Amino acid sequence: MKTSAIFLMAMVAILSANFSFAEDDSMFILTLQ
Amino acid sequence: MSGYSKYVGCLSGAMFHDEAVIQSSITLTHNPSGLYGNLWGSYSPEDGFDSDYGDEIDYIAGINQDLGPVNIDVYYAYYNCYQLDRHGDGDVNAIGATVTFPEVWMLTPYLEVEYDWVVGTSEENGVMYRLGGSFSPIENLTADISVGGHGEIYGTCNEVASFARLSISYDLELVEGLILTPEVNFQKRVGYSEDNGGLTDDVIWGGLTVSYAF
Repeated sequence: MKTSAIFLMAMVAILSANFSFAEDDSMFILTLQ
Repeated sequence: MSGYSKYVGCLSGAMFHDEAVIQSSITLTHNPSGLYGNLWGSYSPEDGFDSDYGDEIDYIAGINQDLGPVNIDVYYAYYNCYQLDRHGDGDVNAIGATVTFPEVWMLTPYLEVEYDWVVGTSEENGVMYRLGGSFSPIENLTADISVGGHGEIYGTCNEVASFARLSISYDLELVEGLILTPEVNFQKRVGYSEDNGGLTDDVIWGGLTVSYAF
């Protein structure tokens, strides 16, 4: 159930879009797809 | 987030699920080291979550770097396959690499290689590879051609070339930043049939990706 919960949370968080955001000097880049 | 009419393995060419799936991923990349972690999910809505091989969760860690004109991506992955709540037998460990070469005459060649070892069934371990190239004959249109093969993996015979594939996609910018990308994939089996130890089959499938960048 723990795995299912993680997956469902991820799916909800992503909504119906994939997107990425980053600035030139950022140390981390998060990409949602 | 993407929707596909079928779930066909990008590298293997194997049909994992013959019905529609929704797939998405989250990636956190460190700049400039290129180290990244990725969580990838596939969900088949037909019979609910964790009901068939359309449901899968992958945990991936890797590094992506440019080495001169070549881009190299090396990764380790754990594929949590159906049944998702049971980690262990039937899941897959993988190490792989993708090398993308400089563009030559509008074509960007690449080579993907992956070695899988299946938890609990070592006789199914083996290597897969795919050699291809992508090009954009007109703006927003991308065509990708590739050929894939594999060793004796997942109980199949060795196939130097198992399938050939043509993928075509087109980016439609609906409003600024919001891009809709329909795609269609044509795959032709060039190796053994599945009844004779082959891994792939003839298949056509479509996909639709919604993306938003800001």
